Amino acid sequence: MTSSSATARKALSKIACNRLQKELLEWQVNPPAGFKHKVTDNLQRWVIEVNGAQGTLYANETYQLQVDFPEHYPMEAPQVIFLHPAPLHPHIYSNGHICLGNFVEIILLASFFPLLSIHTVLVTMVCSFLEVFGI
Amino acid sequence: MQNKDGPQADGELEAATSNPTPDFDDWAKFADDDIMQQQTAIRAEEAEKTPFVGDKEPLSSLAAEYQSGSPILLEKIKVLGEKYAAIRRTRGDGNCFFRSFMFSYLEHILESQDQAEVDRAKSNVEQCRITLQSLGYADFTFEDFFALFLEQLESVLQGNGTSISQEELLLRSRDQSISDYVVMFFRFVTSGEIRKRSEFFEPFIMGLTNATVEQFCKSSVEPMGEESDHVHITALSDALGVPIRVVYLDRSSCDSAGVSVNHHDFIPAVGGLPNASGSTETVSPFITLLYRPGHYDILYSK
Repeated sequence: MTSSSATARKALSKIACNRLQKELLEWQVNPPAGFKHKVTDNLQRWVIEVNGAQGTLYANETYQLQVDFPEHYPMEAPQVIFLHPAPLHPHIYSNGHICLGNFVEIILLASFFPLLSIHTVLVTMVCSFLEVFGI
Repeated sequence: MQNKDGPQADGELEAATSNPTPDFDDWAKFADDDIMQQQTAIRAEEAEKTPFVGDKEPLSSLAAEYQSGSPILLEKIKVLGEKYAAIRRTRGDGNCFFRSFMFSYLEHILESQDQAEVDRAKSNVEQCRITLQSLGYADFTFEDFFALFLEQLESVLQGNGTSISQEELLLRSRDQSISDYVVMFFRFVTSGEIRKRSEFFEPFIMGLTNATVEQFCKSSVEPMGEESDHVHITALSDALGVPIRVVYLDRSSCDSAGVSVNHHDFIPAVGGLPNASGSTETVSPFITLLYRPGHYDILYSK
């Protein structure tokens, strides 16, 4: 199912921990519209609810994104997948993995680097699905 | 289809990525983790060859490398030997310019104990912070990197509780959790400077690639492992106000008057004027880097 990639991950570095705490705080103070962080005590794995944008096939639907942060975040990019049931979309496999084959890869790779927060990455990514690819 | 062998599994990996068959179970088992493992294995292999920052070696070790190589290069290394005594190699991981600059700068402060230089550098770092803020980046995305660099700068000055020795500086420069963050700090500073003065940098960037200033910063400055060129050096030198000399060791020759080794001084802009590269002799760089096409190492004067 969805947790196929949950092999042992190294614990977050001290810098990664600090950074994620700040991002979480920022998220709480200034939550992005359409996203909801599900509160857990796991700083390394965030689960985020996304509402499908109005006017698209995904309107009134809620999906869950799982974000796994690597040991050296933000030097390394987080891994983002959809939890079951994933939205039906040409670039999302039924196991939730997002196809990094073409357009989305460009958006993600060009977007992610330490000056961005996970907030920005998710908004960019989901917009690219629901607006650029919006049906 | 499961790959545990890292680098050996190349062919299979490619086959799998280019053909994501609907066999989702297999694909899932394989996926991102295996690719990340392979990447880690390649890095580890590279790390065994050269540390981030190597030991100081006599210049003769450079000549040894070219024993059966180009006579022009050997001739040039001989000329280098008149002025320079030693070389310190850095890992060829695309961050060599920033890494060389980091070590060379901190080592200079450690040896000179130049408090005035540290104060000056700190005020430039504050300017860089303001630059990033004004470009719209959230403080929390870069403040850790700034803090880490300032901490290193403090620690090479003696006489405070956190002072470190030359050996400790070398250890820190080889420690990924410090070294990479400082490199990233320099990348932020470089990117900020280029964006801030985009009009000045634009023609140079267009000469290098076919990208806009924004694209260039995103694809060639900010990501780790992207190699540096004169644009990066100019921007970093200007932003931090630190002059840098780059000595070029390549096969170009000027046959008329025997072999000579070219160098270029990057002299930081003063009072908002663009980088006055090489035009003044009043400032002499204390950082000297050796450039061989594709790579930078640190050079030590006699």
